[in-house]
Amino acid sequence: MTTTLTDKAAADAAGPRGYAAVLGRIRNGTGRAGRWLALAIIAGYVLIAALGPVLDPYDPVSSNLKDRLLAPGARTAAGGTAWLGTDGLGRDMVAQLIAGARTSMIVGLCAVLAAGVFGVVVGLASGYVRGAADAVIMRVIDVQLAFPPILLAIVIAGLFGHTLTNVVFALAVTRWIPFARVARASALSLRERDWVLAARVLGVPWWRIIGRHVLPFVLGPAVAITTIEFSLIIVSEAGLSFLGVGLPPSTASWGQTIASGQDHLNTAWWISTLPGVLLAVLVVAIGIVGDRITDPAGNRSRP
Amino acid sequence: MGRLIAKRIGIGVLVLWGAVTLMFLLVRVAPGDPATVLVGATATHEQLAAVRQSMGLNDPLFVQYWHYLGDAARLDFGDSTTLSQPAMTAVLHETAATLQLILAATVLALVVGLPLGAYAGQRPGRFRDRLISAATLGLQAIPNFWVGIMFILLFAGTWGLLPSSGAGGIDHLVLPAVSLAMPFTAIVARLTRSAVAASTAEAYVRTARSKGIPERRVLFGHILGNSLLPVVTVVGLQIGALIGGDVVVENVYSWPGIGSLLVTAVNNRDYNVVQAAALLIAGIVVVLNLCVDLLYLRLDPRIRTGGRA
Repeated sequence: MTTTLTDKAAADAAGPRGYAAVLGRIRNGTGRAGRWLALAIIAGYVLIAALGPVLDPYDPVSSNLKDRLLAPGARTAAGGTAWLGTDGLGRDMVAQLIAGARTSMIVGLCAVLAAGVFGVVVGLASGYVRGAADAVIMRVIDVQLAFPPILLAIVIAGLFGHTLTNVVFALAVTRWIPFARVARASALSLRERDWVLAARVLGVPWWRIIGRHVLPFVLGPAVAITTIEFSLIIVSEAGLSFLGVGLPPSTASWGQTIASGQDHLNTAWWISTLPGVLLAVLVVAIGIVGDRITDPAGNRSRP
Repeated sequence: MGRLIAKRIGIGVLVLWGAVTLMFLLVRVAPGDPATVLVGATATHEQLAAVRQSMGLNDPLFVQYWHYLGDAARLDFGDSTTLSQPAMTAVLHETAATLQLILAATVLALVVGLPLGAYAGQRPGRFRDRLISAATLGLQAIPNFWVGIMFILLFAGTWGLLPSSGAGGIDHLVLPAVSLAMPFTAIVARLTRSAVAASTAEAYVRTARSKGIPERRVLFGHILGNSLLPVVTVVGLQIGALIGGDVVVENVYSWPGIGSLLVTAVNNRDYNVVQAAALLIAGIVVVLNLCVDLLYLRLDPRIRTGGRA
């Protein structure tokens, strides 16, 4: 980290050197603690998603009209406690939130994997082969960028029908471009590097060059953007389901829960509020961890 | 300069052609053809065959594509199956409301985001920088549609200050515009912050400060001019995201724009309106991108004169 004049000025303004140093250490400490906390939060979501049905015995999609719109902590007709209340159809909120976490994780992982693999393959082809293939791929990207991702996802999910597979497909189709761009940029510079040239001169087949000498270096940057893309995908999935063009009603999803609470905003605030809080916390946590991954030195975020 | 503008417009037209082609392919690839939707589930095989013939669905794909291009050039996407008017007429009718919302959100994002980012970036690493950076990270992370619902819950429900849905006076515009502007404001602020922070490390800024030029003049005279270029670039790249957000926000507030129409059409399987709305939105994105490109030419003399970059 280069010490610029402004940093010195900032340190001087903060008081004597020792004080500034202590302050700096505290700041670094809170930064590290924040990242660990973020990681712990993400791990918590993953655990809850994985163990979902074991943790909570209630069915997230079966309705029970006797228990409609119970406030958090109220007793259900069957004698249990609805810790976070119930929704307009008497479905337990805890069960819905857990099932929603599961759905978000599954959709997010599948879509980000599909988008990542497709994007990296296309980007490698574009950057390594160049020529006509590159030109065509770049123009296709230009065309797709004319459609906002969520719009394209709405149209695809609408045209192909509301199933889990189609939602994953729609989200993957709308999010492969960043992977392709990152892979292409790395491949473009890698193909001119000495070890790749040497391999080519030695007559190593092209698929082996790409697999052993190019791909490993492309994967780093691609994995780095995975975190951001993952959070964009789960927010998009919630958005699609919120709009009613995403997952079928038989699949619990945070977006659907938020939408179902819209009719009861004045009487039951918890239905729409809670899934959104969970979603926002997860996205912030992923953002904090993602910053760390994209920036291994850990100090570029504050120049 | 003139040739550059002509080239950008040419690229825009090419992209629009590609967008129409992509939409043609999507509709053809999707399961179930438009004829099935039009005649409904109760139709006989003969009726279906007749409708397919009259819609030209039995023609070779290439012929269908040629007709589709011709229709698209005349903005003719057939009649809406639910609204009893041409699909494009229905969509164009909603355009003004959508543009109004986008414009309001953009102005709001720039008016709030630029000063906020400049203020934070002026003193990188200080308390105000860290506070604003954390706040913008949060703003960017919160889902648009959920913020909208929370606004309705608080401002329309609990406090009863503003209307919760529909269009009308300026009070109807406030909540949708703020919800739409929030992530965009965060992006503008973060970009301005890093651009300004990078500039403050430059030699010419240090020189200006050491000469004793007042901080305000350093900011406006030395830092901002050079910081705005990257901001303009990325704001241009984010136009798609802004309009995507618009589609969602319109539905939250029942704002009578293209986004609401699109989602209703998708749910009613009114494919002609879906295509018309999607392509019109693509058109708006392309035109706005063109405007940003031209603004960029205007701001950076190196590109304008074709000189050394």
